[in-house]
Amino acid sequence: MKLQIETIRIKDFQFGASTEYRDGTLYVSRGDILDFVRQESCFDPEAFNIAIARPGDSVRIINVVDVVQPRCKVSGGIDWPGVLSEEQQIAGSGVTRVVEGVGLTLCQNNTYWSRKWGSYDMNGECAAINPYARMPQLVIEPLTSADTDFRAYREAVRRVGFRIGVLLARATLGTVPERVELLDNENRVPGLPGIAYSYQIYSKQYDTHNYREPMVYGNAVPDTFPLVMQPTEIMDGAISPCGGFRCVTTYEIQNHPIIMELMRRHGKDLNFAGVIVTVTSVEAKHRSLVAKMAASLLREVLGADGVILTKGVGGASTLDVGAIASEAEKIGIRAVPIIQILNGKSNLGVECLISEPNVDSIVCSGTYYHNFTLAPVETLLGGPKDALYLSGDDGVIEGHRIATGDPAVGQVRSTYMKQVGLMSQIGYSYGKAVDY
Amino acid sequence: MQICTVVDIAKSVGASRILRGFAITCPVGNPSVDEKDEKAYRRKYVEKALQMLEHPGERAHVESLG
Amino acid sequence: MGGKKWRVVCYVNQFYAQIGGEDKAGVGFGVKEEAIGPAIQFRNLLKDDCEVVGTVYCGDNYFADNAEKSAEEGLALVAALKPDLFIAGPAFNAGRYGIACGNMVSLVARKLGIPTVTAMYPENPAVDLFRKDTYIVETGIMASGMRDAAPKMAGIGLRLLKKEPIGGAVAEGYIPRDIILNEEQPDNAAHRAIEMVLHKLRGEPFSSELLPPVFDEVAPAEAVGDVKKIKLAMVTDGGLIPEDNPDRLKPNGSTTWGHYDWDTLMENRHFVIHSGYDGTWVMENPNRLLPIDVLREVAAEGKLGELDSEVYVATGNCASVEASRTKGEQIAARLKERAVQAVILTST
Repeated sequence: MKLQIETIRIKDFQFGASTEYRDGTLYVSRGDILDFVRQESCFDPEAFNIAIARPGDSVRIINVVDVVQPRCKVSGGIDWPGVLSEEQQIAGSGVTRVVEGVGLTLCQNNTYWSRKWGSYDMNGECAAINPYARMPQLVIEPLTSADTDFRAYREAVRRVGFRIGVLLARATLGTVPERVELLDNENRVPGLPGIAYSYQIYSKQYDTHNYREPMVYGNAVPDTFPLVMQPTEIMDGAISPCGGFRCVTTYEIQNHPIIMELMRRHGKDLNFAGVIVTVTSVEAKHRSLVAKMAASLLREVLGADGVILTKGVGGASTLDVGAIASEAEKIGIRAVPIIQILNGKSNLGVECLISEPNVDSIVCSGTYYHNFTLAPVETLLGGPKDALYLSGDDGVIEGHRIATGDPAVGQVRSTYMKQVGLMSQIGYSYGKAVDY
Repeated sequence: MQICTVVDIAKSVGASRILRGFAITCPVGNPSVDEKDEKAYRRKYVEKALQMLEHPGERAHVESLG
Repeated sequence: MGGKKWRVVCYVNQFYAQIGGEDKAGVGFGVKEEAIGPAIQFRNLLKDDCEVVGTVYCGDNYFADNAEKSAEEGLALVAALKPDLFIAGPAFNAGRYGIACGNMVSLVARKLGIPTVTAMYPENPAVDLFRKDTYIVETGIMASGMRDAAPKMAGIGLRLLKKEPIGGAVAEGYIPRDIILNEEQPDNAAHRAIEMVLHKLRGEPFSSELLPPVFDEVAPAEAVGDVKKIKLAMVTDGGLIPEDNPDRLKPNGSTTWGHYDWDTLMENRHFVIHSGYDGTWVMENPNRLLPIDVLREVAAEGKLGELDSEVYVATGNCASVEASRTKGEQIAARLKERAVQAVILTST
């Protein structure tokens, strides 16, 4: 499967009377956004906050559940099949327009239904290392009444965000793209090593009320066995989160750093052998089978010589990628998992949750618990002015209601994992855990 | 079982039956008393050591002569 | 700082204080109001900002025989010198000296609230006990590592005084203090992973950012049952060997061990090769190291099944954990061959 991506990089992003792209500036009309809001029965257009946050602004955005890059299909395919359409279509072929230089930040204001610890600042210590703080962000904060079903609310937030993204990308279509790139791994070059990617897309350990996020073409994720999916499919609309932030955003999946790099190096120093998709196992029996099936698919179906593995948030997820990596190594496939440290007061010698000794090539993209003390801000987005800040996991107790924390607008304590943009499960982030 | 004076070292390497010895330079004796008394003293270490062998070990557990 | 310099106090053992070797290991505390031994290097390295106002010293055995009490005694001497920074060691792989340095830096940091630095070989048993309490710079196994360690120790000490940040353990050369922090890299994790897998496939060297933990979990051996029915052997790391040293044990860092028939050992010339303790008392009466006299009596009385006629001897001084594990496995294999069911191990 081949996907052409054509990219335009905007210079500025502003509100305007109409949504249009003119002289390097992308304008968005509030009216167009509110038209999308009116399509969702759980939203009130009068209670739907829209703001632009800019790099360097004294702004803190809380209750962040996702960040999205404006993209649209150019070639007539469906945008976000299964999410924005009833009709299904396999994503990942044709032409896709990409807009660089702006992001859409989706927040879940005044709801208590999920782990809402995602936040980030537009200036300060964390902003300096956060890709999302380096571009203007359109921040949307939909409010709703307390009796709204949380599933309906979450899915409506995602739909509005994705529709805005498509609208913005379409506004640029009259302009010739600056960069065109063909992502194509159909033909292998003999003699180059085949590198595959094992992508654990989901862990149900943080599900709210057992709600399985509709992450695959708008469908809920079951306790599935490994699937083979096309790399372009994954980044072009097949997979997107829907709910509480889990250290991976739609923006990161759209720009999937492993898929993009393997595609770009395909035919040069490696062959991109393909992708398998897994979910976290909750039982050892399932884990053991998934690991063996994944390794078998990697060798027998994808013909992989090496594999990169990524995990979802949490410790159980690490055991799974460790098991797959170990099974792969046993049958001669070199495996490199990307995992994280779940502790800040320890040393790397004892904190690797993978215990299989044959998994001896591991990338560690940081500890969740590198702490920050962040200065007060002038403007708070994503929640009411008097919202409390959740420090780590401790704010979510008693049926997921906010119970403790300091005022979010003031000085707050935060962690690397809470800062949306700093910790990416799929390898987009630059951090590495170091012993001190 | 192990008889030693710097018990922290024995603990840190995972020993499980540790008896505190008399001195670094003299684990099972006491040079400041006469030969007969010293032997009686040494017998206490030996009897305690044999007794510890007859009982279940516990990681980093240290005993001393009364 | 203008004319005022920070006050530095150092701690050394009897050897580095030039009092003497193992024969003087029982010497108690003393103070010199100047830099002595390794402290002279710290004086030179820190001369622009600091003054070494004193060196506290103590014999290793004196300290280790009651470490807690000794540390309190040393603390009083250090406190009287009103230090801004306290530097102990380096202790390299000397176990007792390491315990002394560790106890001193730990207590001084806690009680005086000033920055402290020491240095040791990573396998020094004191490292695990004290690494969270201070900065322990990593040294080589022997004292020749001083040249590398001293500038690192001085550098960390000075920055602690100036309240400047200290970097990661590997970059700075200290032993991890059980704090994990993130550092941003030039490449994202995806790129690092792809490079790593390609290097691995090509058989080229690569550096894993994390490795599965290796826990040295030693399960306690089961109780032996009735000692009246078992065969017992004596093992020691005290280095008591025949004068011709047939197994070529070394005074420190030894990788070999020997097994000797007790009566033959006693009837012929023997000595203590271990250079980490003073062997005078053991030479006066070797039963102080290996209580064969008592064990034979106990066996004759029927209170012990049988005593192995051989003793098993190693030298524990500055031995690496790896080498010690190997020696342990070899000794255990020999014991099994001889149907030994229990062991008493004495350590100096």
